[in-house]
Amino acid sequence: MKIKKDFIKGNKKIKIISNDGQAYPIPEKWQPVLSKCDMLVVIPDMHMYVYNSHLDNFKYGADAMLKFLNHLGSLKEEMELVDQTLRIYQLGDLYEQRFPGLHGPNATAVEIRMSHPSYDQIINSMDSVRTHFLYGNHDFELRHFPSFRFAALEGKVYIEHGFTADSWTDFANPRAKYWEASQFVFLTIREINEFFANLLVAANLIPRDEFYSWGVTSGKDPFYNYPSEKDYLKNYGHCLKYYSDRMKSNNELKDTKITVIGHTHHPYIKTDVNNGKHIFIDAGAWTSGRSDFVVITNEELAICCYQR
Amino acid sequence: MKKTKIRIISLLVVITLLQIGCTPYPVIQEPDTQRFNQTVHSTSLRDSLAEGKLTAGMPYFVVSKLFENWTDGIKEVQIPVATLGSKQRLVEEEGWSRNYVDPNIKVFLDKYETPKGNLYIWYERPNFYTMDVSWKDTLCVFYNDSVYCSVINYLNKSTLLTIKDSLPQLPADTDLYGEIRYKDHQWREVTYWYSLQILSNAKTFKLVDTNYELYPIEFLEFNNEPISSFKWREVSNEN
Repeated sequence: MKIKKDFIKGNKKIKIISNDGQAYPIPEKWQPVLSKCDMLVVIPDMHMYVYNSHLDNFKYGADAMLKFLNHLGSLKEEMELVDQTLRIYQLGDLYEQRFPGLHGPNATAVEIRMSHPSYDQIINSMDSVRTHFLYGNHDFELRHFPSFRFAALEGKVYIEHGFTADSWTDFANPRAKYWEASQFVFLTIREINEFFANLLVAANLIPRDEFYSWGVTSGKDPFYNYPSEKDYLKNYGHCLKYYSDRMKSNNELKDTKITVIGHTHHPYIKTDVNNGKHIFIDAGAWTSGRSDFVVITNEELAICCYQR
Repeated sequence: MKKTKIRIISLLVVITLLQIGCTPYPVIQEPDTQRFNQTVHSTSLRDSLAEGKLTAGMPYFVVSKLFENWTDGIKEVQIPVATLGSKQRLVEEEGWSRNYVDPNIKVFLDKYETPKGNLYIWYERPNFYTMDVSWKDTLCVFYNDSVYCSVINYLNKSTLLTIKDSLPQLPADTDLYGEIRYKDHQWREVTYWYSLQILSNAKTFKLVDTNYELYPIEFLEFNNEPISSFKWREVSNEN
């Protein structure tokens, strides 16, 4: 199956952003890379948070997500009519539960989902297209529920959120030794942030609309670019190295050819990992203005975006 | 002259502000009838709304509008619960006081304290399984001032059902209003309503994804007694 012909199908909102707008062909000797489906779509980090909170950096991309899920729903039905399967994964960090907002210690997934009709509809639409959910470091609690998994294997494609490459000092690896303590520190930083931000708002030095927490952008402006390889290697080179080494040395998963992760919010493909033996894909994010996702068929793969 | 004008204007402003301050605010607001009629075509539900009665089968936005400005008593909304009739909020805890709730919860409860007693309202995400739809019930679809009814042949899955007759006159990719008329529950005063789409085979209907504003109310309880309807105007008048 071809990505432009069989997935995009003339939808002008969907653009391939990797490999200069062209789908990357999967080496013939690897084919088929998928075993239980004919097409795989991977939706990366969304970080949905309570809709009215200034920490919610998903809301500006919510309408685009609903339209995208509608596209997936129609495609899935059409494929089923000809006995083909579309499988959809959400890579984790669906909800922002672990880096709490300022109005409370944290928000539960249900509170976030019910904070706006569009959010509830997004979750319902994801259910309708039978999305498979993984958990990430921001919604780590969801590991308690059977519908959320740590990782998945689809033929020769390994899918994981991607936090395991981080150390505890990144505040981002729930499996790291000092993670709980580092989370406590992070919350304290947020509380200090709240104090000073409120002072600035009260003094009319910053408007309330721009009252975002440090490191959290609103997502009001969309980003459809494909960042440079240099930036990725500089900031997230440890992720590439970690998963490249795993594909090389993990005998239990020796058939794995492609690893897909999210977590960094930085879309990136490397097709010559381990001297061309493997492919590494960072799916990017659907938050803070980005609206990336990955499509893999037995013949091609690409990182795409859905334009608002 | 200028001073007189300023005095008159100031007096008018003070009177207006006093007027606003003394106006009794309605604590229960009337629901959006126009939106209701666009969403729900069921005659019995429309009649209930006109009579000021909140009944099972109505969409949740009616409740949220009625109690939008409710400040007189306790108001707890969107409480995640396990089943219809349950009043226990679901919440779990781990680590350093982190709470979490199963995101797959589909039943919610609203609690309102009124002068006459406590009102509990349960609503849930609808599908054909939870709404007790089954073989031999009748699906009626409203399109272009006509009603197309057919007996249900089988349920394909929780969001898909197939009828006996082919309905090629209904357009695909269009949201259609549909009602289920139950074979085994004819005692029910109201039928549930759905937003549906017909597939290309002209026999199979898909339930359109919805959000909590359109979840049907399933069960009402007032002062710990199940009730068939809540007459909001009576409560409103007492205030």
